[in-house]
Amino acid sequence: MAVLPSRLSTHSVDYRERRAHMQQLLATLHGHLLHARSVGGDRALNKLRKHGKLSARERVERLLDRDGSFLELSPLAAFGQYDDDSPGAGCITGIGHVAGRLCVISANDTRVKGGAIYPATADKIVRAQQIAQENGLPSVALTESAGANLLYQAELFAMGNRGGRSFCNQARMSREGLAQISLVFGSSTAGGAYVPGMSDINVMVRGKASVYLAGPPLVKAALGEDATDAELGGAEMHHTVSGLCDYLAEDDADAIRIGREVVANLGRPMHAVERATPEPPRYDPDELLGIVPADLRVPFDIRDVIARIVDGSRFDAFRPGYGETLVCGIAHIDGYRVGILANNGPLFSSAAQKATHFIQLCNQQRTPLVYLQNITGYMVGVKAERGGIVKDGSKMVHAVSTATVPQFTVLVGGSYGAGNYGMCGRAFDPRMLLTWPCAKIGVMGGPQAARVMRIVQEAALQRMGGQALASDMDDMEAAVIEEFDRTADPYYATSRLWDDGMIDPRHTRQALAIGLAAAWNRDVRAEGQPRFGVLRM
Amino acid sequence: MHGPFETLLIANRGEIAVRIIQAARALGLRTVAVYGTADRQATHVAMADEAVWIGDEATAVPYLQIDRILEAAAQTGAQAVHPGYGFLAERADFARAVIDAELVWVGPPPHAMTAMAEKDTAKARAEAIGVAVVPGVQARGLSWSELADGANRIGFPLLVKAVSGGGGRGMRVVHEPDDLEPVITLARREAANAFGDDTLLLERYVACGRHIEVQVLCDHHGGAVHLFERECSVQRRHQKLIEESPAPGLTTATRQALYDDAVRLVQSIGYAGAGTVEFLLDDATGERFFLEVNARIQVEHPVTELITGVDLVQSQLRIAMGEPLWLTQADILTQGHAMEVRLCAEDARDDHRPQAGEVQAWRAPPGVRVDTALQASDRVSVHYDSMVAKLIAHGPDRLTTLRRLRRALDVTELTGLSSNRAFLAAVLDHARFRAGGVTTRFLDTHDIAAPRDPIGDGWLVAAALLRHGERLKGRFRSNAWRADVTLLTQSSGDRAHVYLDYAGDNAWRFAVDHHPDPDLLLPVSPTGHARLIAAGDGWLRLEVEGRLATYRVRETAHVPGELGRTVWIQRPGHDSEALVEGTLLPEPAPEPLPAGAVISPSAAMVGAVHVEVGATVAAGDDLVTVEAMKMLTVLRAPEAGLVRALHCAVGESVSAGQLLVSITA
Repeated sequence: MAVLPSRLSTHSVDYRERRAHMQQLLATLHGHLLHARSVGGDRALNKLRKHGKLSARERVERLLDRDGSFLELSPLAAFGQYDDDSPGAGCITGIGHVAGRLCVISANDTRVKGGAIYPATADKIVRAQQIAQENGLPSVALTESAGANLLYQAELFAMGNRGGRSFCNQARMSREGLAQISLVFGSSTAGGAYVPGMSDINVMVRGKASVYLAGPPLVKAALGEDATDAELGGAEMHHTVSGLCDYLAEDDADAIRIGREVVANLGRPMHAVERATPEPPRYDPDELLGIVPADLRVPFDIRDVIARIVDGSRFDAFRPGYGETLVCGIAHIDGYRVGILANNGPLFSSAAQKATHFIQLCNQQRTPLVYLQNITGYMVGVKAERGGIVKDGSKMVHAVSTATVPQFTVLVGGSYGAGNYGMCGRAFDPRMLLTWPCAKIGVMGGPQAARVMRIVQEAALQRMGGQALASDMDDMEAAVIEEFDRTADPYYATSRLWDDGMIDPRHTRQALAIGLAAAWNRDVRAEGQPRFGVLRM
Repeated sequence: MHGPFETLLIANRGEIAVRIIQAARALGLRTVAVYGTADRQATHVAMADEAVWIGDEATAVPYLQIDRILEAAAQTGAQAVHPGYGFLAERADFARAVIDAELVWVGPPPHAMTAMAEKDTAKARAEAIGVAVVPGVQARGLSWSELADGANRIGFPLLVKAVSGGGGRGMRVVHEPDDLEPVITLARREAANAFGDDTLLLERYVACGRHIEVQVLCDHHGGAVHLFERECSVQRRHQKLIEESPAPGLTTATRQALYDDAVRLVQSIGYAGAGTVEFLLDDATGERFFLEVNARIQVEHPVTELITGVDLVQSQLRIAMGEPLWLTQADILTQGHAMEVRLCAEDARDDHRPQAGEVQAWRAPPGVRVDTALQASDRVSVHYDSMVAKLIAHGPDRLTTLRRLRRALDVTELTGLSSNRAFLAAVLDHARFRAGGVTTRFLDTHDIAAPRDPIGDGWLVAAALLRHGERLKGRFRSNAWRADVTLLTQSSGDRAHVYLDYAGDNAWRFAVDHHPDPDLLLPVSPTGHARLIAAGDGWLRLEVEGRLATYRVRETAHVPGELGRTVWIQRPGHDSEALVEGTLLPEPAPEPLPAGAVISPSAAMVGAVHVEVGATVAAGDDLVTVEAMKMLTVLRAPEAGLVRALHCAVGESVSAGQLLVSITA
């Protein structure tokens, strides 16, 4: 396999400017992450200490293998929503190694409104469950939650993908043999009680965990019964009387120790994993910071990104002389073979056809796919339309939709229009979708949308015999641009779980490696034989 | 009682047993070791040609079992017995038993031992031949009023000593006449327990004295030579810590007078073998007083060996074989200066309490003589002395010698136990000690707190790297996460949070938060860069913020059920520090003691129980005396009440914090 040449000059003004810009974006990202991480500050942490408890992050860190990896999912969920009351949506989710085994971990963060469930919390948990289900991973829930935030119950309780969905998922994953493990550290009331209730194996902390449908005040109100917390739902009671608790832990650390043992004792997938010896990229991933221009309209060569992500910077380009605005080819990431599709300009018919071919090819060879998006869309105009761009673009979207190999998407730049679809956007269920902080998402760019709106408006007014005031039109255009910019912002996207997390570009390789390792928990070769529908020729 | 032999039994343990085996080997002798259960893995046992088990520490001190030792000699065909120092070394009854068993006794004849064993008779004899002694009175058979009279004649402060004691055991200073009675009662009890003889000696307490001793060698044919003096004035609780030769600042006349006195004295009692004549040099008056004769090889003998080139232990053996002295006084010359420090397992930060525990790593320093039996993975037990090694430097002059010794202390690696290493270094650094001629009160009157190291961040980084570093290379944490390690220092309870990020190419970025108080998170976060330069078994060479240092690191075995391990780490010139990788949770509070509970302050042996169950006690009454190596501690009633239960018996080993007596009000 040929080593990609680097087209990047680290001494150039361009490189330095782009890098400086990316570092600014990263500083903003880290600021937001730090805010989400240190919610409640030392006061909240010290309160936990006084109760002999670990924070959610400490619990997760201790659950993880010291030498194992962890990819946090949706760390900025709920960002800018709910008056910013729920940083990170009040929970932590991620994929990490526990006792040598990749698991999906979720943990309620009681520092955020007592671990109350917001609509975004439900979305985040359900998304983590989807990842566990698709990849065949065990789930470990670190539970301590005040239950649903009743202010938002209407958006939570009955919606198809929230509320009860997480319990439904637990049962279905358990049916499939994907272990559901719950470590209960504190109060888990009502809905929270069903997390251990629906789990295969429960660990509860003595004197701290309490699990019941209704707490003492509600029981008093409803039945007039006087009951203590411990009587109603203490760990000892559940261990010795109700049978809800399988293992009794002495403290947080002990619960984690038991949890790790439980995971260590799970059965393991027995299929062979195709993996070559991993090799770092030949070019320094640090240089990824200096590739994407501040102005996304300025083109850059996506192969410079590929060269800093794949093993040995080696890349076997597929049909390099055809449909050149889409780079396709085979490479390895952390030893896992992948087919890469990456944008180097708008998608023309030729590029779409090549993509369709390549996707089918990789499906036949059972090679997982990685999409690197920097796409303004499919080509428009008379020539393109007459050339069948709709037909060819649809073929590509069809292939992406029906592919049965694991697919991964990284938004490295723009993600506009149908390009988002053809390059495996959120709606096409990639196993994982990650965003660089420089990404922009929208049906089209703000100025283009504003221009379109102006032309349409002016035409409508003209039809009615009116005349558009230039100043009104300017105001409208500005408002459209502002609205488009607001919603195209990657933080708007990541807050609403349009992605699985915004990452430092330098972490792209490791994050994809975890996704690939997770995917190989199922037998990529055996599952879902390639089948495609009718491709319009 | 003296004559040729081929097989030598060594009735001792530790470094002196090793030293004797080496000397015997040099003379081509076969050696037999004896050992107690705790010493099965000991160096002296491994080194000897044969070894015989003589008992279990739980019942009695094996090395005091005369019958067993003689049996071992009979079993192995040993023809001679070397007692070493301590244990049975100065017991004339043992010497007699050895001789009665038709074995060669490597030591002075029993009659000479008896003549010198009791301080009062030794002093009387010295006075008889015109050697000055400290004014004093013997307490045997005296009534209280006679004792008080005697005490008043001597004047206060005075010293109460057990006649059969030695090496600081059973010695107490009395400053006020009112204190005399309780001290004597206690000293009698201790002496009876420790030596089986409660005879006491009262004598003038020379506040500003220097401890000077003269080494002698005498053969069985009337020949006697001295091997100059040693100064042993640096003492804590009458325990010598640093010894040197020659004694700094003495006039030639004084030296000569000491040598003459010593030789005259040993000749007058028909002494044979190696011995030490101890003198007290009154710094205030310039008087010299004979103290006692130590009829044995002494701990500090290497100092003399280094400056004279005479092997004292080999000399003991040759003398015992009947050889007439092969050296005349004129043959014995000194060269340069020698100085010894005693490295002990004790916690200088906790009133020098002896430490028991497992040695994680031991590396003797190069460039000095090291007498030790210590090996890595040894357990230092409460049963025996806390001294683990002697470091002895030799040089052309005192300061060079001192510096060599100081440097040797810097590179000594002793991990797993607290030691007095830093304390010794601090003494060697002390300007007053460097000037020479300190008195035995030096350590009492000068505050030599070992510098308490604030834990350098480099330590923490090294420990964190050992524990996590190499593993961190392969792992990944997405950007919201920091790889972190919490480390608690075992000795001071400080806790620190170390964040490590692998920056590639053996380099790490780190941040350290110190939390002296677990409830208080300080926002102090020194950050920096560390680079791993090299690493090997038990060491890491790190460049932390541009400074290169080698850290010795050991990790204890994993204890099942515990999240954290202990990492022992030592940087050059500092004591090893135990860092426990801990949870961030506060440590569970210890069980509150029930009221009226009396616990053992340290790992110790129960020396005496002074009360019975059911007895009524007043607050401050003596309950139990515990002995930790050579320190007696009397535990007193915290309040008045009834002794409800006794949880210990005489001779029992108890651990720190163990409940000994319960009292109800």
